[in-house]
Amino acid sequence: MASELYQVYSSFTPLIKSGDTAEIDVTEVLSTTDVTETKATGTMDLLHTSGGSVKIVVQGPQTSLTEDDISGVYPAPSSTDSPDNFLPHIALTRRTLPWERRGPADNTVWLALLVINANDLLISESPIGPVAQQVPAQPAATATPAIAALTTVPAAKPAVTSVSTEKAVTPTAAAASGGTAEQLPPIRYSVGSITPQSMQVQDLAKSDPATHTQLLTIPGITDTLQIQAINIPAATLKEILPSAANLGLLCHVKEVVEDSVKTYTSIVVSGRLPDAGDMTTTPPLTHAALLVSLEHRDDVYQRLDKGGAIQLIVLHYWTFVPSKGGDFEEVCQMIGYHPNGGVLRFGNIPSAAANPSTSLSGGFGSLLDNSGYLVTPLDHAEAGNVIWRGPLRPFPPPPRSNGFAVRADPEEFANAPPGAQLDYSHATAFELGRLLAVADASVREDLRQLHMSFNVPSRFVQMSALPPALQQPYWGIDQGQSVDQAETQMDTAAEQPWSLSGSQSMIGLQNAAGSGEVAGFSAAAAQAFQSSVTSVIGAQAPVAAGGATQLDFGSITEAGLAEQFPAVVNAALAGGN
Amino acid sequence: MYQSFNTQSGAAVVAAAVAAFPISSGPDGLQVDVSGLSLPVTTTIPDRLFNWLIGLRLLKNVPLTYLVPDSSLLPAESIRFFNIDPTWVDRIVDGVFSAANTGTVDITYSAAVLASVRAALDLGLQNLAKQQVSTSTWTVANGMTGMLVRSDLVTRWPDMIVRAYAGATESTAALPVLRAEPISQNVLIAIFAGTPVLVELREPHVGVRFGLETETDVPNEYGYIPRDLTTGLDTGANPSWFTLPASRVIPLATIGSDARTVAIRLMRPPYIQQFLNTVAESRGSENPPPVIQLTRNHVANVGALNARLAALRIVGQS
Repeated sequence: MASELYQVYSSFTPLIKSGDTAEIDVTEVLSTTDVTETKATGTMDLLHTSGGSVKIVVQGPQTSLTEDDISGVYPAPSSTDSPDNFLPHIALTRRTLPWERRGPADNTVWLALLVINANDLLISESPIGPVAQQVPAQPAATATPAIAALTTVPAAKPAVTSVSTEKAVTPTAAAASGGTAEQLPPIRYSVGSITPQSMQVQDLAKSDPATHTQLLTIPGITDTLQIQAINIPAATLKEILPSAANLGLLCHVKEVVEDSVKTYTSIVVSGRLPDAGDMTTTPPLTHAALLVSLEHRDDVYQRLDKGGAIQLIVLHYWTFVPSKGGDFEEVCQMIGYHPNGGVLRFGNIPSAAANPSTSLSGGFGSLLDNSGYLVTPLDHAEAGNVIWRGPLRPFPPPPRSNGFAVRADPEEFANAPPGAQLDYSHATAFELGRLLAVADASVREDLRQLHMSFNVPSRFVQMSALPPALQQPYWGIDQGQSVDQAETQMDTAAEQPWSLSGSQSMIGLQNAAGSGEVAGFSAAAAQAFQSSVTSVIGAQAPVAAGGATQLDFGSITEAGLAEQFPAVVNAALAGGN
Repeated sequence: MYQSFNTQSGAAVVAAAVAAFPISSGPDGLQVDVSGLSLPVTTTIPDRLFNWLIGLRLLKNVPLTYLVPDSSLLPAESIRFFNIDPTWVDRIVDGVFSAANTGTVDITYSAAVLASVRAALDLGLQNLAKQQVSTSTWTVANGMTGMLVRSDLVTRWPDMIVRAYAGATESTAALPVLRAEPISQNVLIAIFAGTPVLVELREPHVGVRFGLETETDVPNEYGYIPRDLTTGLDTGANPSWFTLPASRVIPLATIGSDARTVAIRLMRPPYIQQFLNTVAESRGSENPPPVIQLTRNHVANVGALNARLAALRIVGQS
């Protein structure tokens, strides 16, 4: 149930109707409270008293609405599934709107919501006009439809949109003149579209002079006013237009109180249900909901029996296709019955189990076993006996695993004995997660950020503790060093970036004690290693006291480069041993 | 000025880490058990990623074919209730984090983070449950259940409201509905925190509507709901029936003598469909009876069901 608190009012009549001129009497009284001049009554009139009147005109929507005027409509515009036992309505933000103007009679509302479809706009008339009306009808049994009668359609009529094939009782001119009795079907034609046409009021002078004349009597309406109008047969209006007295029954005001704030909406309801037909043979027709103006349209009710069509000003309209698909309750209830799928446990199918003992529950057949695995595996290209289930299970799952998967491909898949059953369920879940992450750029970026925060190994040393040979020169001045010395040092480093300073070995064999040996790597092996490297890169004597070791890249040979690191190490180890 | 540098070789680091995180082979590939381990780092999951992962735990972004691998599991016009396998869903999250791994060292450390992520997501889901129902004491250990709806209901009322309760009536404790939304044009998924006894599908209240009850076994027979004109509440009495003319214009004078009465009697409240888990599955394969009785003595249009059944038979024969 909706929890909102609301009140319904039959009407909200404004003091002054739209378009009416009202006069406000104004009285000014200048008074004083000066005690020395106060009369016994407390204040005294002083010096000046004046009056006058102000004329005002209240304005409001007359021939069209703006979006701000409309709170909502039902059914939704262009919808195709509104049940045909629901009445279209329009909710207006202006609570007094339906009562702001005089309707077709005094003290009536001026707005009505009409619901029409294309069939409502058809006029059925005799092909030979008034003459036929004077001739007694012939028995239907002797009738012979004559399509040739189409030629008798008066030229002034709109184009024929449909011709009834039913046998009519309208006699022909021949019958009227005593000739052979021959009956013609009535001509049915549409007076227009179910949606309004845009025009100026003066355009009605030819198509509907009576309406044109009537409209010009309404304050605020002129010949050049742009309007939207709908042409509806009088016979249809006679059926669907509420009487002037009943118009007010279809308009009310709803007051909603939310957080102590009152909101008012005036609502105009259609007095006619849409018609979805039976929907089994023909699709339902498109319907139009038309909010029409009946302001001072006394003439409409006077013309209902006079045939023809009547133009009405449309302030707002929308179209929809009703449905006989049932309302919410009906659709819910129908789910339980064949051929619908029913309300069941996941895995069950809406038919009885071939073997009730294998039924999951309720005696229904099932595609899953108790654990949610597909009883009949899906087609797959994997070799072997593969089983799979998704995350949805018919019964409560076993306790959650506290493990974490770090690789999608379980070892036993590769090493499984032939024919062993392989469960691909979690492997596919893992792979799905990978794919979802890779497919989403923002997820990838967030994972990268997160990854940076945790991928930090422990037990660190600073690079500054590394042998100087592995450090680059720095741009600074050592203690006790002059600026000139520092500049010279930097210039040297810049000119000879690949050189090593004085006592440094490129291989860096010094240990902490300066004994020139690293643990597990004998001095002899190191020497052989150094020699091997020297042979590869063509360096001169590896250590030149007080000078720099120059590397001659031009002397590096192809054979030297082809020597692989393991070979170098092996050679060194062999030399050391 | 200088980058940190590890004196250990990569192999040594991995060996040390693997010793701390027991890794075993299992149906999930290499499984790392970090239970009881104090984590080496504290980290913050970016909000965007966190919400995305919470969504994954609620099966968002999981393709429908993973949930329903065979369309027969969710045929046209059906509702299915299910349990969610938490380990299966955990594996999706494991897979997400594996996408950022580039080597064995990464794998080891991400396993450590996975533990904290899993705990954070569990807490996030519990907070989500509390947002729905402030008194909720649900924890992930209590499990999640849900329902799939494939029906015109979803197409026509995609905003329908799903409610769940711990007992057989609305007066019992409400269960958090962690997720309820359409996942395709005519399929809706709802996920509950815990196992509800009562589930409700409520027609969305999209504002006031007006209409008549239908008496579908009597052509053109319609009625209005008798309501207390002071409170507006349904009196529970059967509708007052009348026959509509071919024009389908409603008999205003019959319904009420003033606009307020007419409006109140024509108002249509949202319908609530209840599902009780105490009721055994009894329908789903039954042919419709001649008359399906709905509330207020009106009946469903069985003709539409039979027409569809006939159409299916024709398709089956061709």
